[in-house]
Amino acid sequence: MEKSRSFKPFHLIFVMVLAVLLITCMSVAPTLAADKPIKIGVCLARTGPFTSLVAFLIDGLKLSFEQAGGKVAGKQFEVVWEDEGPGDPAFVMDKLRKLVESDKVDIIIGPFNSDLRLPTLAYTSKKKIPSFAVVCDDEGALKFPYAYAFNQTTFQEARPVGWYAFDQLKVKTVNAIGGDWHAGHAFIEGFTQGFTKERNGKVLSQQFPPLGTTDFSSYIVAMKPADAIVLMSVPGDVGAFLSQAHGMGAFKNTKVINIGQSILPPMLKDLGPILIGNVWQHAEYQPFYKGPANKKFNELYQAKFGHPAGSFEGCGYAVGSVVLEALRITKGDTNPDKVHEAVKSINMDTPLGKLTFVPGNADKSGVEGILSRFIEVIKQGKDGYYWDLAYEYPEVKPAPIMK
Amino acid sequence: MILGVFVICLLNGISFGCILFLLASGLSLTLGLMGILNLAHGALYMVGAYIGWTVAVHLGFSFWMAALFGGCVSGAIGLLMERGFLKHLNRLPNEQVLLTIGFVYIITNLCLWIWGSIPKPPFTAKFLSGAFTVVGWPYPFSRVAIIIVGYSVALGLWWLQDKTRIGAMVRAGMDDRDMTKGLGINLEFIAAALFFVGAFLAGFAGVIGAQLIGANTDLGLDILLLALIVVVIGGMGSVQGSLIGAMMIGLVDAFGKILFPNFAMFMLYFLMVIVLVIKPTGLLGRKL
Repeated sequence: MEKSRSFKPFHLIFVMVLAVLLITCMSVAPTLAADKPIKIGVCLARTGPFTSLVAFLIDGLKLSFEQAGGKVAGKQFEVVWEDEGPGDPAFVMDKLRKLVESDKVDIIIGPFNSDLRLPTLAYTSKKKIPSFAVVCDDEGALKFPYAYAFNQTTFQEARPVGWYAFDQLKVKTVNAIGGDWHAGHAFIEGFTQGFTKERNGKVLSQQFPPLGTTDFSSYIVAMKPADAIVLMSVPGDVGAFLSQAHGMGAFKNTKVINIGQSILPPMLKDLGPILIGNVWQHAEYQPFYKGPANKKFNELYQAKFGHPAGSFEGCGYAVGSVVLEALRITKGDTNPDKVHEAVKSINMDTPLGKLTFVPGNADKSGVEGILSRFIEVIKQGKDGYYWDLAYEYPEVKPAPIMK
Repeated sequence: MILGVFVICLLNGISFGCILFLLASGLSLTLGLMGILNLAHGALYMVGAYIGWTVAVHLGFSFWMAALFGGCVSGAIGLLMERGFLKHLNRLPNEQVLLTIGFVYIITNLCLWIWGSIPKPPFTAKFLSGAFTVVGWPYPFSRVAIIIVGYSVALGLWWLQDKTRIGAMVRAGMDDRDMTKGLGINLEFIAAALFFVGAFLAGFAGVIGAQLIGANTDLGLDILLLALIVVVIGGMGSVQGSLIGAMMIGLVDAFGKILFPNFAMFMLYFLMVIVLVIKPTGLLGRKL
């Protein structure tokens, strides 16, 4: 006789306990996921030729995170810092892999060096990690999905400098000299489009000394007689170039227009006397710009550091604010597609002016900001020399690259 | 116009070559006569530049006092490196390279910590801040001063190395250490003194060179590269070789940037390769 299978009370209890455990786990799992802090990876230069610029940028970026008090949309966020290194793509890729695969960051800010940013975007876009440029990005970056040039591209940013040189400074001819790296070339190309194709100026010569050039005298000698010199490089090289050019009489009847904000405010203490009245500089951020977000940022910065913010501090604060705003819109959801839609919908006031986003010029994958561009001029006040706002081009839109 | 450009480039090449000579002569002496490859030599140049800026610009003392002080501080750091570490690594080039590269990072970060990340623009003595006209081009007095200082130091070093008893003892020590010690010569003291002189020259070059370049934290490696090329071309342990190598690099750099701007840096390496193929010990170097 077959023994009938009876459902004993013990089995029932066992199944019920399992069911309770299962339901508990199912309800707890999302709670645990929700409690998991958002991770923002920051990969910026702590070593190499850009260290001096990035140090200020980091001050501004940290300030924006501190203002948020470690929370966005009610969720905790953590910042993981890494050094992008002195310019080696293999080095920075190791750091990016560590941030993405080991630290499991949700969003990346950086790298700073445009030569490094392009190779890293191929990786981060494949991994679907939203990646924000800290200053202006490369045009090529916008071919990558999940790449955000909130501060426009180097090419687009330099176009208004060409307009200003032609329209306001009445410059008709220039010699262009740019540092020999990706951004150095792109800035000069953007200026050239603004100055020659969107206006009627002429670029008489273009030279690209390697970064870290110590003696610029041959480049100065090779320049042709022109109304202005357009300059773009890192602070150390720009300081040496300006000093050597001044010593060789190159500023006589010649204006100097610096792109890239590399004549940092503290450098004016030494260089101010030889540059005042002769030098203009384009700026992504200008402390005297009268916008509500800039007023707030200036007050915060002054209170913390005891001196006015410079251009890179403003950019650092702005990129931090943009990332946090995108996360506020998604209510803390770090799903890359939701972050992408959030960035596209941003309409906010930043220290750099009113910011909205449009699809990038390249192939519409990445997203580019529309915001103000500034020109500044050296003034002398009771505390020494400083950069003052000379002109503002509000809400500059990207334009196609003219061949 | 063409004559003007030629003359200005010639003078610029010579003045930049003089800075390279001041830097490379110290490196060449310590490498050729003591067998120590000090890759922190560029970092000592950088320290000199920063100290010079502090003394001349920040504290307002004279430029020449800044040059002396910059040299002394770099010399003292060099002496500490030699007495504390490098004397234990005699004839161990791999270890010397690793150690001195480590010093580059330590010194660079100390400079970053003390002077910050903002580069210090070029500075010079007040009476050298003007310019005079050479074939229609303004030419700064500071570059002429660099040329005068460079050739004066070259003359002094040549005299010290080739015409004095101290120079003879140094050369003897390099050729046969045991025999020299047997003759009662204190080689330990000579090695320390020579390392101090080499490091002093690096710091001194830093202040003299700051008239063109200023001071920044990337100098430690940027300028070292050029100094190494000068030593390879001129040959180790030879003052005259360093001078010839530095002049060649200075002139090739100055004219190369004008004539072949896209290949200017490549030309320096090309020159080095040619010299190595023809004379592997450098133009006036000691036999390996």
